[in-house]
Amino acid sequence: MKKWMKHSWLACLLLGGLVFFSWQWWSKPLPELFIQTDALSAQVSNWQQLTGREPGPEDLDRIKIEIAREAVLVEKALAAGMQNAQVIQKRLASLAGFLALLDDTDAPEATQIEAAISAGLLRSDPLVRRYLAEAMRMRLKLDIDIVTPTIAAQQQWYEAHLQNFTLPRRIQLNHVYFSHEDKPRALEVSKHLQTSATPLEEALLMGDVFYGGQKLPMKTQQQLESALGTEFAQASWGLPLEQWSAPVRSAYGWHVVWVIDEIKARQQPLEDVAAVIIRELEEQTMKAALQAKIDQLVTQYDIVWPVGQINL
Amino acid sequence: MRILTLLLGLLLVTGEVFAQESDTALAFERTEQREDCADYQPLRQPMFGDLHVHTSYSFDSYVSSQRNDPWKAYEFAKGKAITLPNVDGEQEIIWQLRRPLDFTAVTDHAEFLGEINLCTEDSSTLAYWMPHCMMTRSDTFIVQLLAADYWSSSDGVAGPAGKEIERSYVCKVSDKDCEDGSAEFWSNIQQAAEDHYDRSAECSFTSFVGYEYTDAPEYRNLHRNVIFRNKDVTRLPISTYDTGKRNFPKLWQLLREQCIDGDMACDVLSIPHNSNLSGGWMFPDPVNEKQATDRLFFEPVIELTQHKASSECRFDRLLGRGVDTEDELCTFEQNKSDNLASMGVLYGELQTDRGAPVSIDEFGRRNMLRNVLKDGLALEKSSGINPFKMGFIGSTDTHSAAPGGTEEDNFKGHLGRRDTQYRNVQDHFEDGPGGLAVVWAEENSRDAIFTGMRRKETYATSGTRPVVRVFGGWDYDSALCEAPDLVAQGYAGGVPMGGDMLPRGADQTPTFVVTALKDAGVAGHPGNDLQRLQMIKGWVDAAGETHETVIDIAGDANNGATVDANSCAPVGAGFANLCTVWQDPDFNAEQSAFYYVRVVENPSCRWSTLQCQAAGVNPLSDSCGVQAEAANALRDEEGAIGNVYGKCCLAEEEEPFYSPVQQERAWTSPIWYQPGV
Repeated sequence: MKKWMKHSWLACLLLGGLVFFSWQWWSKPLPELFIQTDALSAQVSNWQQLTGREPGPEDLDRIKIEIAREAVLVEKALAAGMQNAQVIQKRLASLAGFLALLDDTDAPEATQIEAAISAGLLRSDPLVRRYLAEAMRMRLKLDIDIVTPTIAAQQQWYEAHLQNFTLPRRIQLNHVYFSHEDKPRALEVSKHLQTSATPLEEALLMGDVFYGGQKLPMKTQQQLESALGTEFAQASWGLPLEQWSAPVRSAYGWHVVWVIDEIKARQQPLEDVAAVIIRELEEQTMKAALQAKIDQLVTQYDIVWPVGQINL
Repeated sequence: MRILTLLLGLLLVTGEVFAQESDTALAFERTEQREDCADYQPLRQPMFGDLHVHTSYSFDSYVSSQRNDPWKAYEFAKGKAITLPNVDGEQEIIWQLRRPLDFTAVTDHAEFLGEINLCTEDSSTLAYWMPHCMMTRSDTFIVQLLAADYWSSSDGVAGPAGKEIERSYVCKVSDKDCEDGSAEFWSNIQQAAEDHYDRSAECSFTSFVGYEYTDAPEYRNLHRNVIFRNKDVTRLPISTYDTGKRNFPKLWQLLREQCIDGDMACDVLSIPHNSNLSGGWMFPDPVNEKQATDRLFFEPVIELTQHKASSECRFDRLLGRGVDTEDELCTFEQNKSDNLASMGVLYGELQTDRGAPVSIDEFGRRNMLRNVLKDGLALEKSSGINPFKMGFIGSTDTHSAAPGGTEEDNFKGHLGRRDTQYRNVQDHFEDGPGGLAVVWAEENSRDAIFTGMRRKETYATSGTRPVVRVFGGWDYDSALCEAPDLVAQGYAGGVPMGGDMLPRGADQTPTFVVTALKDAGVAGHPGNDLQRLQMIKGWVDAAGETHETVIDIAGDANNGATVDANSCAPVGAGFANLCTVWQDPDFNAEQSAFYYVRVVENPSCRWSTLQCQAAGVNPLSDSCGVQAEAANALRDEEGAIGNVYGKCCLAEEEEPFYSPVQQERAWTSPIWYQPGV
């Protein structure tokens, strides 16, 4: 070989040939996929009917991407022989009859199907296209292996969404109630209670009757808000344990509050919520993988758009 | 294998014993495995919920471009945002509750559950490609309307009463049939409920497994929501395909066979709704005692108010009379028609004469629940059994997977793109955000809430959250409102709402203790003050004639409160809370009677007023007509069809029921008195 290569002309020839064939191989043109004017027009028209306005450049781009994806899915489905599905064969036969493609109305079904295919209905009938595209999507989905997310991935998602898995703080409180007009009395009672050792049961009788109850069980801030309004819930949330408060305002009036006990907020451990996280992650992965797969298929075609005005 | 089965059986038996032992202190039977709630209250607490919720599994929701499923509906109930379609069907409307609910049941239509599954889930089946399935999935508005019409008429849920029901041809073209599809969705509905049910001691949220039985012969609404007590449910939802049309007693029979008698842990209620649209068919006299007792067992509560108006009572202000009532507050949230065809409004125009307004004289007397309660007393007198002893709840009937979406100033519509944005005032003006179900329960768990509904300790609200208690007894102290242990005394000395008072003697007079707290509201959206409490009494006299009276028992009907005509802000004060001890001055111990309380809030703007104002059309302004024309012109430019804002300017004085300013309210379940019991 070395001997042959000593001849510079031969080396040039071989190198040239290599470059030529490589170029040919690399620059092999992608198969062209023609989008019919009607297809684009129909989509744009549909879009206009839905939105009541003409699509802008960005809208048009999005419409085109969707059309291209569907067109590619249809091509791939045809390549995979999905047009042989019974539903499509029946549809084609029925279209042939409906469009009177054959003079002989009693022609066998196979002949009708052939006529429909010859008329281009495999690619032009919206129902057939939609079926093919959907069937191809399903096929692609089947090919996607969704691996159970690793513990690390679950952990990462868990940490990024910690707020979803936090059990909130709860407090238990008693309160002495006064109407809106009775703030001075509320102040007076509050001062008295703060400086005396009045027994709790006795203290509760120093105000008015509150029809929502004066002894509230353990409640979250949200539950307190639901019972007595936001203002009360926020104010009582910061009160220290086992001390009488200054009057706290609510939707109903004034309250002198005694917080009896609390359960601090706590995090649910990952193992308790793993099932929820796994389902969420698997859904996300499937969606992204399918989209990527379809977009990758689109790159295998040279999409040729109709030139000129779109007919609406 | 046998040993394994025995061991498993032993395990289950021990589990059962353990569960029973652990609830010795509970006021209700624990029928499921769960932790006790941390905030258990023996004297009960009000739980706010929604038991009527449709998701994308319902045909009418799906064909309205609504794509939120049962899981999403529960998320919404718990306070998370969901995305809904705009008028163009694009998913871009964000909706979120200001306050989460305590409990919810997703109740998708049992009818077409399988069909919608076949039409929307699996493109590899032939059914998926059937024309009506493709129409159902279509994004084109007109095609969707045609699909909706297909499902809801002819052989669908609103077909003729006598016609045999046939399943859609969609069910017959694939190996996977509608029963398979229904089973798949039914399984999902159960799973979504399970996923969102808090079985921990936190008890933050309760879900119920349920569905809607959707019988509407000739558009007369006989719908019922079937709510199961726990995870033990029927194999499939029992639908009109199983019962035939206009045959809800068969529903009870099948529920008894397949649930009550079929499974030790299965318990179930059916909750009728929209008797206002039933064309007089919701409450026929029972044909035998079994029907009467079945109704009492399965239907202890009824949905009194919801998106498609209220069913308490009806008063036509133009005629100055009502359907067997003179109660002027009965103009509240009425539908002018008496059947479901009235929903067929498109581009502002009713598309069918079948849904045309019905005059007071032709309106079915028993479409209104107060009359039904009165007739129950009369039937009791003649037959010995009152078949119409029902408590009240409210709900939304949302078809936008938006349980509890009742905030008037935060209402995005309840039927997907059909009533979102401007279409809400154009096509669904007579509808509203709907109401809430309130149940007095010891804790937020399925057993506690379900038991509360069984004993009818419930009330309905028109969407706000006032807290109302009623006790009826014979010996309550007139100063009970001053007692710190009012509630304990209330339970000890009588019965709460929904109860039966035992007779005491000819010279005794029943006493009622009523307390109400206004809706506490949330930051930036305070609850409205209360205006008054009303006692509504119905009774039957010796001749079998029924009567009613409405008495203001607390508050002030003339407190001068109103709304600002421009901002809708409340003007004038009412009451933060009210309490009264009331005795019936006209009580006759020989007459059966019922008593329920209506809590009336100060005036506030209706949802439609707020949405019209937001579009620059003020129903409270003299210039409303001009403003509507200008707003219509803007919509025309955007492609809207028809008179969009015309209804904003309806004149109250020319309308039998409508008012741009309303009074939100609550209705408690009645307390009954029967002599000689």
